[in-house]
Amino acid sequence: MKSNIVRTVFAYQLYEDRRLWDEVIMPLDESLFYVDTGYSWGSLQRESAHVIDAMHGYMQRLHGSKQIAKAFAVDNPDRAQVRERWDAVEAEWRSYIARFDDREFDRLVDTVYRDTLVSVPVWQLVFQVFNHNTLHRAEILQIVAALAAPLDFDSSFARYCIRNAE
Amino acid sequence: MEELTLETESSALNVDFARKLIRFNSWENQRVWDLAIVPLTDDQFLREVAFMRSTVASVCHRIIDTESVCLQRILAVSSVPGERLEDTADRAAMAARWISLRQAWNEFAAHLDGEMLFSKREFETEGDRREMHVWQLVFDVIYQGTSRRSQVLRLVAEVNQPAEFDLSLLQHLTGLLRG
Repeated sequence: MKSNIVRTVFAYQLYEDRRLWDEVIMPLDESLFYVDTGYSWGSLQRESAHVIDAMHGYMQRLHGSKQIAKAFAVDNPDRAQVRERWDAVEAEWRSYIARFDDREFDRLVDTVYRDTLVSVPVWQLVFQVFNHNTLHRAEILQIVAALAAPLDFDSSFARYCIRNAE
Repeated sequence: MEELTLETESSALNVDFARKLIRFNSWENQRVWDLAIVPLTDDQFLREVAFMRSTVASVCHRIIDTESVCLQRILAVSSVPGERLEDTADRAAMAARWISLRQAWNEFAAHLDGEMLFSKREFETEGDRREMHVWQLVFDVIYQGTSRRSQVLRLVAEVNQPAEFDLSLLQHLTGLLRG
C-alpha cells in the first residue's frame, strides 16, 4: 500500500518535470539558459544540473554507494546535454520505482549526509528526492520569471490526483 | 502463516512516515517564519515583487489556505480551529492562525492510522463532487508547502536579503541542520 503512494508521487514528479522542460525551459531562447540571476544556483543550467546530480546521487545511495559520482562528465553542459542527462537519470529512477514494494519502503540504508554517516529507511531518501525536485521546480520557475516573464504554471498535486482518477 | 499476515499488515499499515512528513511541514513553516519572515519590516512583508506578482504575505496566506482546506476535507468539517483571516496584512493574526492550524494538524497526525490514511474523502470543489484519498490530501499540503516556501525565500531575498539556511526534508529527518 505504501509503495503505491511512492509510485503515484513519482508519476506526479515525472509529469511535472516533463511539463517544466517541455513548456517552460525548452521554449526559452537558449542564451537565457546560461544567465546567472544571482539567486540560489543562479542559472537554469546550474539549477537543473544540480537537480540531476541530486537524483543521480540519491539513486547511488539507495544502492549502497558511499562514494557518490557526479552526474555529468563535463563541467559546463549545454541545454541539450542537460536534457539528455535528465532523461537518462529519470530512466534510472523509473526502473527503480517499477520494482518498488513495501519491503523496500522500510529497508534501512547506511549513507553519508552532510559529512555524517546516517542509517535511514529508504522512504526518507525517496521522499527527499521528491521534495528536492519540488523545491527546485519552484526555483526554476522563479528564474524564468526573472529572466522572461511570470508564468501561470499550476503544479497542484490535488489537481493531478483528481484528473488521474477520472 | 498467521504471524506472517500480522507482520505484513503491521508493516503495511505503519504510517509513521506520514506523521513525520506532517511534522516536517509544520517544522519548516515555523523555521521559515522565525528565520526569514519575522526579521522583515511590515513594508517588506507586504511589498510586491513584480516578476513574481506576489508578496511574502500573499504566499503565506495561500499556504495557510491550502492547509486549512485540506484539513477540512480530511476531517469532513466546514471549518478548522482558528479564525479565518480577514486582514491578510496582519502578521500577528496570520501567525496566530498558523499556530492554531498547526495544532489541529498535529492532533490529526496523532490519531492517524493506516485505515484512515488510505480511506477516501468526498468534497465539492469548483461546482463538482470530487473524491481523494486522505494521503493525497496530506501530500497536497506537503508539496504545495515545499513549493511555496521556496517562493517565500525568493521573495524575502528580493525585499530583504537571502536567507542563511536551506530547505530540506532530510535535514529535518536526520537533525543535521545547516544554517
